[in-house]
Amino acid sequence: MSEDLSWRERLGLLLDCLDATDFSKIARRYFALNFFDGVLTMMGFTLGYYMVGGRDPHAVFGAGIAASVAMGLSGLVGALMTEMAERERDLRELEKSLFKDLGNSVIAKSQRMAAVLIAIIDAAAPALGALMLAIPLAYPLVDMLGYDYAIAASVAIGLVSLFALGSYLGSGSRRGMLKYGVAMLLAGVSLAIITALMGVVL
Amino acid sequence: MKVAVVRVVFDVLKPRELDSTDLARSLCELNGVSLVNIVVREVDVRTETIRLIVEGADVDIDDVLDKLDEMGCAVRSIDSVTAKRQGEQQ
Repeated sequence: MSEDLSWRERLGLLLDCLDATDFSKIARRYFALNFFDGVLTMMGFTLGYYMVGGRDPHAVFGAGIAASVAMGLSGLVGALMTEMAERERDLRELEKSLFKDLGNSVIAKSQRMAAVLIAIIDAAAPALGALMLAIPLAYPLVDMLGYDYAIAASVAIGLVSLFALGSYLGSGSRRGMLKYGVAMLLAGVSLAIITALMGVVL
Repeated sequence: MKVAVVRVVFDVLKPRELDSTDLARSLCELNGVSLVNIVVREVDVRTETIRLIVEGADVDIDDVLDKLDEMGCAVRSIDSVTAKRQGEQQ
């Protein structure tokens, strides 16, 4: 019986230990922070380009995709290195408390798994946020949408996703979904105003 | 006549991340083990000292030690062992 259940048991145990590493809390925080970063960066880039007179759909789409990939890779490498180092440090301290090497233990495996999963989330969140805004920018390339409308659609997607992100964060707190959603939305609108002013100044 | 270990009491230091229920369930999956009892005796910032009682028809102490090692627990001592001769009528 123990042989049949071995891998399930091990996986279950690993997931339980993963839960004990604060993985879900950290992952949720990383996702929200980096998704917000991805959306705002892409919105700032798109609006900034448009406001200073940029009218080349190839340039805005190509640079947008490149920025998404760059943010994703940066998140992956940065979070993986940081999380691995931090978790390794925690593990060393735990080893000192236990007077024991934890190299192949479930605890060490769950810490490594948490670091990798957090790095993936850290990579996917900004890339996803930026890509969502980049998708409408591809339509002018195949003549499915006018350039101005594509920019407007991209910004609208950005604002809606910021509101959705705020609502998601607010759903877990007492302050309410609407309040958080509006706060995030205001951040997006502020960015739009700042970039519009920059377009006038530059 | 076979002599089997039926009850062992360990003094164990375990990481706090590891839930006592998960540890008890894992140990209970071992062959020859039918009952596991964990009592937390001391709580530290990162660790917990527990009194672990493993009972069964034929407890393999090495299997228990291997499992505890895999789970990241440090065994400080084996405080009590009960063995029983199998097949003897009481």
